[in-house]
Amino acid sequence: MHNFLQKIKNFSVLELRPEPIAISFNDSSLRFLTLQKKTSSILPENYWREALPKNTVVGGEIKEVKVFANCLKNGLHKIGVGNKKATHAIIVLPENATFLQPLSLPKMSKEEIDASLATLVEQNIPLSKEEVEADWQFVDSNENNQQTNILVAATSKIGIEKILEAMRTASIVPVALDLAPLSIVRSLINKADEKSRLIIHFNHDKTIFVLHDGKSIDLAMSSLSGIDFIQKKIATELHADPSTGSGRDPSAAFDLMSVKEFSNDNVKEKKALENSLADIIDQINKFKSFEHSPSEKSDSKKHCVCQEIVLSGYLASLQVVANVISQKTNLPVVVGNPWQQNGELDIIPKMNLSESLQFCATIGGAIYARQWFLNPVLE
Amino acid sequence: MDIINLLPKKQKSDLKTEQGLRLVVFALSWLSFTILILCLLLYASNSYLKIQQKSLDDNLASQKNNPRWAEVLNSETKLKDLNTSIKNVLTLQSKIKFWSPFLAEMANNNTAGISFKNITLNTTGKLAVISGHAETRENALDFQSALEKNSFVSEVKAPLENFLDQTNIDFSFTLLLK
Repeated sequence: MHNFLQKIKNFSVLELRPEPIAISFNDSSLRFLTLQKKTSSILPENYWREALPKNTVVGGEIKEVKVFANCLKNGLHKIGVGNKKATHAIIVLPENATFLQPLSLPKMSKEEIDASLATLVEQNIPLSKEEVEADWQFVDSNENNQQTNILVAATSKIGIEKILEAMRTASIVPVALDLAPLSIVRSLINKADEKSRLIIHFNHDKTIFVLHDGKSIDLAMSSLSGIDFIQKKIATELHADPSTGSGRDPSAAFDLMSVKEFSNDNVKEKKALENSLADIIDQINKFKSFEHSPSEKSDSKKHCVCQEIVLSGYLASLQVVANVISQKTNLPVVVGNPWQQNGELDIIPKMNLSESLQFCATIGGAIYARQWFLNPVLE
Repeated sequence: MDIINLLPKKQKSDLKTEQGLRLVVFALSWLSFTILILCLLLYASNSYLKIQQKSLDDNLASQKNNPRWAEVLNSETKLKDLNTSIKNVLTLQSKIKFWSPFLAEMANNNTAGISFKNITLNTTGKLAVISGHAETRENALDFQSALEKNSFVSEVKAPLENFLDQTNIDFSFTLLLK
């Protein structure tokens, strides 16, 4: 009864359906984004990155619910929605807290898949069906196909409960729990262009790899070589050489790279960057030609050859990084455009490309929010 | 939306309920708002009409205090009486049947060898009975034919006795008038 009255109290008479904001988080920060209203374009209105205290979120799981809720409240105030009684939001879950698995099944209807979801999860996700929250979506809607390709997503129930508790404390009404790989793909991949791509999203604590076959996600995983790790490695290498002054300050390593770029004068920096990116390049070489098991993809699609690498996140806007990766993998490397659904926009008001690339997952969440908002109320 | 959403089923269902509730509250709010606007319009119209009525009442009261008011009232009474009289005259007039044109036409079409004894006219004006004497049967038949041609007569009823004798016939015709 109390909840019901609370809901009535929270209604705005003039709002039939409030447009949700997008919130994404990882181990180091929370990101908030609201879109400009009354426009069909996806353009940012307000955004904010709220740093999380250490050990608040570990491995994508919230450890300190109260601290997390306080950070949520701070973030809401920063983007100007803190005074609302209830804020609807799309929450983008970190990649390392979720499982994403493409599956190829004999032709099945939506109802049949719904009924067998628990079994599918048990067979394909390394968690028991009792402790998992799962959902799925069709990958292609070809009626004549004898196979049904779906994408199954799952996460731990305990993790979800903690997120919901934090949201409740911060007066946030979650409309959907989205996954970071899906959000990143939504913001970076143009659906019309069916090229298979590998998206590399650099975060502070990890790097996310998303292999996309032009229609759907083939594979999503993360490596612990985030930019913090890369930066430390560069700093260590440069520090070992007393002739390079920049080695003393790890945070300045990338600034130096971006200014000098590749030339004969900075061979040491180039070498340091190559070494720091070695793990990531190893991973890319594994994904360049990826073979799925028969249960994951139908025969015609099981072999995915990557045609292009798309960079996003913190390092993406540094040309030197794109050059090293391209040189080492022999693949074209492009910097992602998180606003590609608006067409070829070079500059987005309020948000430059570097910031936009860091907010890729949040932007994907905001696109989800806009789609939900535009969906008919009674559907 | 068939996009992956890891929100637990209970939360999804709560969200749907909230959406339904929101729709109802939204519709009711706008309905109430519309009704409120209509009420305001009605209240404004009512107030305007009340002011108008008060102004007319004041005007009437001032007219009554005028010395010519008695004259106006007197004229009004006379007009009312005149209206009543005219109504009565018209009512009476609608009840009267003018027989003279019928009798004139009958006299014009007078048949030889016929003499009338009696003409009875019904007060409703729809029935007439003519009795008389015809010298021969032919005279009686001619008279019947003349009556049938009369523009005021719709039907002529003649008893068979009218035509039993060859001569010296006492006839009687019942006429239904138009």
